[in-house]
Amino acid sequence: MSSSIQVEQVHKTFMKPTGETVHAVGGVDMDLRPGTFYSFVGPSGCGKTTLLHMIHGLLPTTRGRILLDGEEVNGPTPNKAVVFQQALLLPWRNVTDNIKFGIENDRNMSATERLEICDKYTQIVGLRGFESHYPHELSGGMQQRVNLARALAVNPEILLMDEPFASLDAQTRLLMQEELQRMIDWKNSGKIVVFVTHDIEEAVFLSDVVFCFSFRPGTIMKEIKVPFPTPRTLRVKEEPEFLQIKHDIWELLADEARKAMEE
Amino acid sequence: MEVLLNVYQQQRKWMNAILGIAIVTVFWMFANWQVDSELFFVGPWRVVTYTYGLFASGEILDDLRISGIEFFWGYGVAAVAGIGFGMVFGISRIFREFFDPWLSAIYATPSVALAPLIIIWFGVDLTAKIVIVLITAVVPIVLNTYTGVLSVGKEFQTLANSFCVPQRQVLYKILIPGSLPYIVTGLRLGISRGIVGVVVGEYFGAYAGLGYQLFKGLDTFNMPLMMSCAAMLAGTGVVFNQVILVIERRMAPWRDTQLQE
Ligand SMILES: Nc1ncnc2c1ncn2[C@@H]1O[C@H](COP(=O)(O)OP(=O)(O)OP(=O)(O)O)[C@@H](O)[C@H]1O
Ligand SMILES: [Mg+2]
Repeated sequence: MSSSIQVEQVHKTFMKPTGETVHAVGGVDMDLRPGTFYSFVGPSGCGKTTLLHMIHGLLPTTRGRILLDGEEVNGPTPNKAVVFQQALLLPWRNVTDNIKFGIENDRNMSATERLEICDKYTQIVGLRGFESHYPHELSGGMQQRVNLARALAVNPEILLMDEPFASLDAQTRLLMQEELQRMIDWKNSGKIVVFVTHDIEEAVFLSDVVFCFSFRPGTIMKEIKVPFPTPRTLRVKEEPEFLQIKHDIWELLADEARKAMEE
Repeated sequence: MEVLLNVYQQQRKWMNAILGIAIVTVFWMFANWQVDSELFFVGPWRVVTYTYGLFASGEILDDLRISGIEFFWGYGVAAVAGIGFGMVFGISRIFREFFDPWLSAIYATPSVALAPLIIIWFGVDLTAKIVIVLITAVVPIVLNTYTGVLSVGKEFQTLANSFCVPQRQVLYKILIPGSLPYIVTGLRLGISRGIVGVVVGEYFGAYAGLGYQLFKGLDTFNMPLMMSCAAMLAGTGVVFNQVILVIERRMAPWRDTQLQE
């Protein structure tokens, strides 16, 4: 059940229709082990989303390769799921049917089981009572929670989350940070979680390992291990060691962010 | 007064439509009073009574039946074929590259120009008219469906791909619902073009039909008959358009915008 992922010298260069090229990812190596929560932090536009999509197989790499259990990734598989940066809900489906989108093709599941799963995750993301609402009737934060529930419902071994909490209010965000740990339980289930965020505190709070990315072309400047045992409570955010790690990452990223702004 | 204003606010859409009809009717009556010759013009009341007479005597029923058959077969086939071809155009790049110029050519050709050819090929019976309705109505349906498929965001295909949805399911899970608003627009345009097709088809030789009666009125200086036929054709278009809107509302509850146009 537990898989591992190797990212080996991965580059990505985009070619715009105008002929211009963008070197988005510039030689990334990582070794993702089962039962571990990883975060990507780095300046805007440094290739985090691009790398996440390459890990899922939505985009090919330009150079280098990505291995899942020793086999090269060349397309999405049902054991991985993405929470997209934009909610990407189908406007013609209500909340329940949007959450169901990823499990409809699972032959091992009966219709009632599917509904139970949808129900469970609707509850978890706090959308009880909104089951039959359409996306245009939901707020941005609610849409984002449907997006999250849709990926969680698949119960994937590898969960790739692209700023899943970005449009939540501060309180809901804190609650979801705690809740997410209980929901995924990656230590016991052996899952790999990759979590992209701009919130350094959030990254440190949730992760076993934080990858800090440089400005474009994105490379890993530093890999930081967070030693606190999981699941964590919000109180951990006040511990001196936590604050120290947070501070270090902040220092490291400030220069890169400045470069991004100057561009 | 306040009560009246309230009623107006609540039923605004209907009230305004009725007021609009009233304004035009007054103008119509005024024009009729000015012209005062049944050879050139007739008033609204005369059109109503004349139409009633046509129904009461039963002489128009056969024409309605014939035109109805022409329209329903022609439009029905146009709807199915139009949506089908539109989908193929939207999905297949090869197909698009091969046949897009042809589609543009057909779009640019006035259907009236093709009608005489079709009459020669198919004769003056029903088939020819059905074909004329078909080719006039099918073009906007194909074009709109085609545009609709292309308008469905690439990101939704990425989404489907990401959750390992098989390609053939993408058709009915993403492409068809995503292009539905465009398909409906095509179907609505197709209705008015199809009605034009009925009239044009019957112009080039027919034994019955609303268009046939219209042109018979022209030949016999029967202005009430002509205006009555024109009114019936217009009414049919309005009713069918509403029918499609109601169906869309049923099928697409996620679109709140079309409720207030
Ligand atoms: N399809 C594309 N075509 C061309 N350039 C692209 C494409 N996708 C991404 N890029 C470019 O690649 C770079 C990295 O984009 P990416 O979305 O991965 O950044 P990110 O780190 O996720 O940023 P953010 O934190 O703002 O979401 C950006 O400069 C972007 O302009
Ligand atoms: Mg991003």
